Amino acid sequence: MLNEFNPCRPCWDTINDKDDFNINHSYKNYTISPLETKVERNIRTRTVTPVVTGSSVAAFTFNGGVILAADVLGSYGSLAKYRNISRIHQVNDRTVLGLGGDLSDADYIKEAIDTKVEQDIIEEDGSKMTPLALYAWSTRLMYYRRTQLNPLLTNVIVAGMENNEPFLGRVNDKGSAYKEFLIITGIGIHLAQGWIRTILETSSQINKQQAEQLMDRIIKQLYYRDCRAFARYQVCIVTNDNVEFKVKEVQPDWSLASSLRNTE
Amino acid sequence: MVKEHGWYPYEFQSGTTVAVAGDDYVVVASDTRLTENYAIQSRTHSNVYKMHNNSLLLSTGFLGDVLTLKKTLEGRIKTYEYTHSKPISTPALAQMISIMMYGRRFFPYYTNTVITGLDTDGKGCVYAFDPVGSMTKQLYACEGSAMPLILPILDARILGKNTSNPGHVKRTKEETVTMIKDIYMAACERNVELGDGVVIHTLTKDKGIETDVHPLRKD
Repeated sequence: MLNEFNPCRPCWDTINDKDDFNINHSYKNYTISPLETKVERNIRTRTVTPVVTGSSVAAFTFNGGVILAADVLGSYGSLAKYRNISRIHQVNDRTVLGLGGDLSDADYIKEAIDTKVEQDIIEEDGSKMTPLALYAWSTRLMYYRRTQLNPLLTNVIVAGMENNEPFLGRVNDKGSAYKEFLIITGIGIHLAQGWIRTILETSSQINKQQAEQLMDRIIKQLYYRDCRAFARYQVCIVTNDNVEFKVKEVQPDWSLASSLRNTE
Repeated sequence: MVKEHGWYPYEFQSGTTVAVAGDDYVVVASDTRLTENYAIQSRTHSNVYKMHNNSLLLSTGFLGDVLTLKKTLEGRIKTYEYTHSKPISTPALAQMISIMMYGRRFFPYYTNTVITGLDTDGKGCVYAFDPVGSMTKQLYACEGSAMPLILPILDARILGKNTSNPGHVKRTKEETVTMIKDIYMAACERNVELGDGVVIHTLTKDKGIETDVHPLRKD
């Protein structure tokens, strides 16, 4: 029929060469009408809702380093499906990446960065990616995907030591990026960012041990009130000496529950 | 075919910027609060960006577009300098910004930008743009979330508009800095997205860029 004719598609005899299983009609899976342009197809086939997600990531700088924490859960909607996913990724000996949001896009970002790090190793010129470079590059990557209207639906937290000074920055799915001494993504913005900033602003520079204790307290708070949180979490501490990973489990204190009248 | 917006490619960060041109100086100011919806992400995020040719770019709106515009501009300023063996002048840079922004007419840089500097005669100049690059040379500019509060004050104080004493009032750069501090302090009482601090840069031919940070209320 004339309205289905597309001069760009291969023609074959569809009357005599009938295939019962429509093997040769795979083009129909790609374009919904002969008039759909490539851009329209891109827009139709992109994902704009995250599928497997990670919850909040919390990070702040302390005297001599940066600390990040994220739980190890990948949620499939409200199902706690993947219970051992590391959302903090070490890039090199002075940079780490924290990822929250869609985890398949997080994997894509991890692979892209690992490829870059491998290239650096292959070049053998002694240069290593610094957190600021990674932060700038991630901003470009996220902004590029946003401009293609095919976003990477993750929040990327870049942390590390830049010129022996702690560095912490966040890039979101639209390419907005900023650097700050405290970064929390996800629902943690509402549950933790306010009171943590008060503590960090009013206290003088805290040391590594105090930072760890404070981070444990943040994760515990998120575990109490975030529906998509998980008790097991990963903490990463970056200092001038090394990058340290620890896995911990929240020790919740539910004795408060009986005094809250709206819990049974 | 009507398509629903599940994910929207723009978002709006806060930020208020003010620029005032004088006879031999330019004073620019920006608040230092960065918000995302109603959460404060940073109390020390300035919206003023120093360009290599000693002009100051003020940009608010969508932070992703602000950063991209700034980065693209920096590249093009350097290219101009390599090609022409001299730094780009602010009026030429303004024209370049206008053309660059109109290049994205059908997917705009959602930023309210102002480029300020000293023109070839040494006088201060302020060029303001709308999100698609419509350029106007102005005596003063104000963009951002508290613009409706601040712009009428600037109209009255600088040009005497709608007052009983109309006429352009010339000020020294110190007087302008004091005026801008007072204006920000007044505006932050009435606007939620304004606060935390105001950073004021003064650009003169002799002393270059001098910076002053003035704290504002944190609520």
